[in-house]
Amino acid sequence: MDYVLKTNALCKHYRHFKALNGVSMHIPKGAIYGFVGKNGAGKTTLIRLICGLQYPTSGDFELYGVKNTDKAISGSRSRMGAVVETPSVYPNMTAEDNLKMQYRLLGMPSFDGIRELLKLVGLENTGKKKAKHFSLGMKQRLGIAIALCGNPDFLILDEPINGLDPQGIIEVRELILKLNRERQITVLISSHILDELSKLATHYGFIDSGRIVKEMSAEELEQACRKCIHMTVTDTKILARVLDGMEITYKILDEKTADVYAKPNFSQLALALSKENCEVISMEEHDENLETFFVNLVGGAVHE
Amino acid sequence: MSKLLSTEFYKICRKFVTILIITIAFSVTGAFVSMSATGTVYAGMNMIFCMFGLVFCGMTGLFISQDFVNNTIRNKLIIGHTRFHIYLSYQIVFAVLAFLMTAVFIGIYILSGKLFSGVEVFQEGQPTPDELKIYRENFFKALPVYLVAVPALTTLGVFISMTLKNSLGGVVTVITAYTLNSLPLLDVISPENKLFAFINTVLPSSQIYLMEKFSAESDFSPLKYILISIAFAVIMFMLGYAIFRKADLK
Repeated sequence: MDYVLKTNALCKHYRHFKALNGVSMHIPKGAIYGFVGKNGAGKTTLIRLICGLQYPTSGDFELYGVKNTDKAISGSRSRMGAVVETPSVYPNMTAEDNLKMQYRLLGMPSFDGIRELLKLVGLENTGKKKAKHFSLGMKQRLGIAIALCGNPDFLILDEPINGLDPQGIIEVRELILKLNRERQITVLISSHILDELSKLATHYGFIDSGRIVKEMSAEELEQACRKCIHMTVTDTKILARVLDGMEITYKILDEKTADVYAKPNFSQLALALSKENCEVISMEEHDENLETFFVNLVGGAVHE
Repeated sequence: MSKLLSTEFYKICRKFVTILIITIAFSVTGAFVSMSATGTVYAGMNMIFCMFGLVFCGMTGLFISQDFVNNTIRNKLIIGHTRFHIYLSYQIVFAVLAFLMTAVFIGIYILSGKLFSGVEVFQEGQPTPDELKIYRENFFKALPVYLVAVPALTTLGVFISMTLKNSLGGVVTVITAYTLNSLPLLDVISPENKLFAFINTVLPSSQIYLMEKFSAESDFSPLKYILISIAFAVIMFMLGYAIFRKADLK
């Protein structure tokens, strides 16, 4: 698999505080990578390291196969756009002038495409209104437009829907999906709003206390969160045979536990197992969403 | 690098009229002060010269700190510009601007001298033709010192704002410039003190005051002061970049 970004045991210490403690993450090309973690888990710190705003204490990362210690990393970064925490805009300039400044920084030969970018983020009618008079949502969208200057292949969005109204959230979500589908832009998106993230992400990385706790694809997460009956029996081989006979899908977890993905007739199932000398020890309904999955994973409440 | 330079020059051009007005105001005031005190614009570089240099230093800090306040410095790093190029581009832009504006300042200063030729002289009598000749010679000898000292002072503004990396950068630069403006007084208060003399020799702002002291001396050589200003600028640049190179940005 092609990876846009790979980090290897990345650490960042601020004196005695370990903001990142050996982070290893992998962002596949073309993915929308949902980066999930509590406040202070290390999400923004990792993003800052990738963007070159800070240096790792130890460990390294590869961006488009180029190591962060390599001089060619500057070239790799030119293929990237990012909005880190708050949008970085010139408050005394209009949206168009802000984009022109970014075009100059990128050394773009002409300003063609600025109109299209403004239209893409829904700021085409802001005219001479200066960025300091923009609403938070408009600033956020302007930040995304700046990040999109130069047609990057990789977009990093740190909490892009923070402070947006419901309409703004929908617009940003649709914009991200559009960029990913139409322009094949790989997106790293960190967010607290897990429900919103679940509507976008194709891959997930869960971070807690400066460590990646789990990385998985959306399919794997869906599988993990699938509604099922978690059964504990004396012998799962017998359980598998019985469930096959009843044409019920299941997943054997170990010698004694299994997840059953349907609601069978429990009396019939218990009877069939009993005939085979297999005892049902416990049965519990298992129904998780991204939020509960995350809480179970990091073992604490989600901090909004 | 050229991309950074063009961006920074463009940003400065947006403020060019303000900078030009400040320059004209300082040069006309300087000419008036000199004419009213000595009857000639060539009798050394008065306090307005030093203040102009320090205003430029403060302005540099205020301009750069805006990039940290708005976090727009991120936009440069994210797309791959190196820290060296970012630091150097700021330095080049403000040094070039300071040099050009100093030249404009001097031009307008000399022209304004003719405007104020009739103002009352507070000093007893006009300078003699011989005195005027020495004044004029030394003034033009001191000009290269001034043309180097003002851009050298911008390195201090860049150093402070790039080290503090927030809105304080601009404020501290202005406070530092104000403090530097009063340092030449140390020499007046205690002319025998070697430390004070040393401080006033190595600081480009104080050298401008020294130019006034040397205006009547016939064997004045400006080269030493030009070299000191260049050394000051190089040290400030190296120190500032060394700190910025490893700094954590938000």
